[in-house]
Amino acid sequence: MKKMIVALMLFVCMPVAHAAELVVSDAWVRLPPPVAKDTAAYMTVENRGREALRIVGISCDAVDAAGLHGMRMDGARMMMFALPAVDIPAGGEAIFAPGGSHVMLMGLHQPLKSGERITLNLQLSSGEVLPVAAEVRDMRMNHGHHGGMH
Amino acid sequence: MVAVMNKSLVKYGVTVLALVAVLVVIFWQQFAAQPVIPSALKNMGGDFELQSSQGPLALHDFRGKAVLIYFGYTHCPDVCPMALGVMAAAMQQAGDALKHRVAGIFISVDPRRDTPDKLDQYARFFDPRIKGVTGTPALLDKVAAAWRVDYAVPDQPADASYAVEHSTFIYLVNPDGKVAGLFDEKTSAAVIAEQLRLWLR
Repeated sequence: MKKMIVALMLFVCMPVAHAAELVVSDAWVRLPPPVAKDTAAYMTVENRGREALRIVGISCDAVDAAGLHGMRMDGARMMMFALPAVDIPAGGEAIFAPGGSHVMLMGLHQPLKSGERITLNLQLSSGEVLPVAAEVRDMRMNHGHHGGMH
Repeated sequence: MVAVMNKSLVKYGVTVLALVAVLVVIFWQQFAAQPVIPSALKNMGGDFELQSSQGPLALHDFRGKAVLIYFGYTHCPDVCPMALGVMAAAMQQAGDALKHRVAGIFISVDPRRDTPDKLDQYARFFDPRIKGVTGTPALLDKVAAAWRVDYAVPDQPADASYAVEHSTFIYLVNPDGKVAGLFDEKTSAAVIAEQLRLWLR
């Protein structure tokens, strides 16, 4: 029952960003320690249209700079690199998730609060800008309502 | 009279024997339970002394505790908070009985931006038992070499926005100060908690 309620809540909270083609779900921002000015955001972007779409950038008014980042291992080293664009084929999806590609948020203007929502603006190659509401989540155990690390 | 004395002697003897047997079983269990350090980890790690907000902090200060150690930096948006979250969760899952016998150390390889005070505030967000430390680049290079940590800090000013490449191991150090396990930010906290319990048994 609890699970169902959570699932329903997630469904209701799902920011349907671009009704026609792009559906963004589970957009969230990692609550960083108050002393940290940088953090990451995550989301799943689904392309329900018939044409491939390209995300060419991201912006956020809550930070000095935002960007799309990929990650790869170089030997034992974890490397982050800027993604110039992310292509999503028709019917496909792009997943930004912990430990993988993510939205880098650098220079927070003020400390975030768990549960607050900040807006991320996805920039598409068509020139369209897609606002996405991302919820700030505290990922520590016994904090926030989303529980600990998975 | 003699028979009575014999009876109590026998009783006494049986009690002693039972006690000895129990002790033998306990010692045998302890001995058999001692986990083994994988041979690949035997030439890794070693003592160090770095700077915390409270002054110098050495690995040998943690003798008798199981310690989780991570090398990273506070501007790290993704893997470092993941790793510290896993470490904190593992320490909490190790259980209340071991509360004071588990610890964490977050070593910043980015001393240009990460002061001991900032590291203290950063680390305690995850768990107050995780201590944040750093040192001079020369000292960090030495520690990193001993711990097989690979990292690169770009040559940029402290107020610049830059990423630091670094290895992403979570080290488990046993109560004798030896590296006894290697994990990363994707390891489940339950797995690490189990190892903490094993080494503290």
